[in-house]
Amino acid sequence: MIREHVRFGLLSDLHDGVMDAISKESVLDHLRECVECDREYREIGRMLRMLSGLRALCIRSGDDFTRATLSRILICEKKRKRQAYYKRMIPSAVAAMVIFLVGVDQFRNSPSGTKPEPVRMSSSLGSGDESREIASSYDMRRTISILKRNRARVTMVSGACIEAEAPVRFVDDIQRECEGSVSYGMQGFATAVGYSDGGMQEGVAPFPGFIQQRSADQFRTVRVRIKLR
Amino acid sequence: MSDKSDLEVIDRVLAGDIEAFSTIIEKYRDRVFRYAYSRVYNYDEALDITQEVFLMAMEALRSFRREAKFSTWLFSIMVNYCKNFRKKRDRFPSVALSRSDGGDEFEIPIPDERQRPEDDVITVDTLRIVKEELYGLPEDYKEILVLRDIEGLSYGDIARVLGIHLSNVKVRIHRGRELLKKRLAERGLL
Ligand SMILES: [Zn+2]
Repeated sequence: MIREHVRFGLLSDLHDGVMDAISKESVLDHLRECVECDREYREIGRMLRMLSGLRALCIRSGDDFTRATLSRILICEKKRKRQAYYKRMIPSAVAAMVIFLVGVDQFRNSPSGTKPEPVRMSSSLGSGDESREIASSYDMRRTISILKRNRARVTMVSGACIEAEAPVRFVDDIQRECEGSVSYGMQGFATAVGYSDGGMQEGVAPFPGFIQQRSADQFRTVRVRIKLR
Repeated sequence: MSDKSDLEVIDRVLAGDIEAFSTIIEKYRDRVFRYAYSRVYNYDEALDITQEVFLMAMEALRSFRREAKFSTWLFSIMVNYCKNFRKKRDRFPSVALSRSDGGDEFEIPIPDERQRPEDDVITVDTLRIVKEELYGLPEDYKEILVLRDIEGLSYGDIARVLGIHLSNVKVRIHRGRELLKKRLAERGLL
């Protein structure tokens, strides 16, 4: 039998059944004789029952949530498949391009050809102010909440859209959170349109070096216009 | 649904039946939500986090090695996502549009029979106080009590999910429970 009172940890272990048989027996012996420890043990039990009562906290409309999440997953999967397809296709397209350019180069270097010009890839994105347009499937309050969470400064709010300035490094997150979160029961999905990045260097292709380029000047802000659905 | 049936569903999903993933969402959505809610204390944010966790799980499903239970793997994603979410939020606190810092008014929907007086008097008001005191604990204690005493994870699973040693799990559970018990006693619940 344990002469001193039982430590709280042992009583807690006894509730969880994580004790060796000998310790358990001696603690139980003590509880049979000590009113104080027995009360402590029962109180822990009551607290654990109260805690398990918090399992009642749950999503308000679970089925809608499941549907909405699944829609997003299906959209992402479609996107992923498309990207995988392009990933497979790009190397062969590049190879074809190289063969073509080499061919042109050789043609130009031929006795009758002119001097070759350096080949430059120009960005398809326009210069000027940076901005991105996003369609949000959330209501105004939640869209603003997403913006604030991502460090954006709301500059204009109207019934149809919200404008904000966001640090460039958070723009992707904002877009993902706004447009990806399909409203419950809705199947729709909107893609971003017209992202122009004036900070891009001339002669650099927008993809795939795009992300690395952007991280160099991540403290810039981008104008974001969120269209409310 | 046991872990075996989780694995069956995952096999179907990986074979292309993406819609089968809804079984997983249905099964775990409230558990992920409760954990997220305990971390951010805001209904909308917790809902967003829950959705993101399932999206990440789906994206990473092919890398699930089946050495651990699926639930343990999912909860690891959940814990890491919440950690990063909070880091970001704490680093860039915004003027509270939602009451994300002070908690929101999300009520506990208790089934009617719980409110009957003969039911060990765990009333909605009692649970509200328990919720308040639990969420008021230091993060380490709160987190571990949510995983153990609400979600019912084993000590071993908690150690894997949180990436800490088993002895550490035990110590945190002891200290967390002891502190919570003291606070509940001060509120007249024990
Ligand atoms: Zn005693």
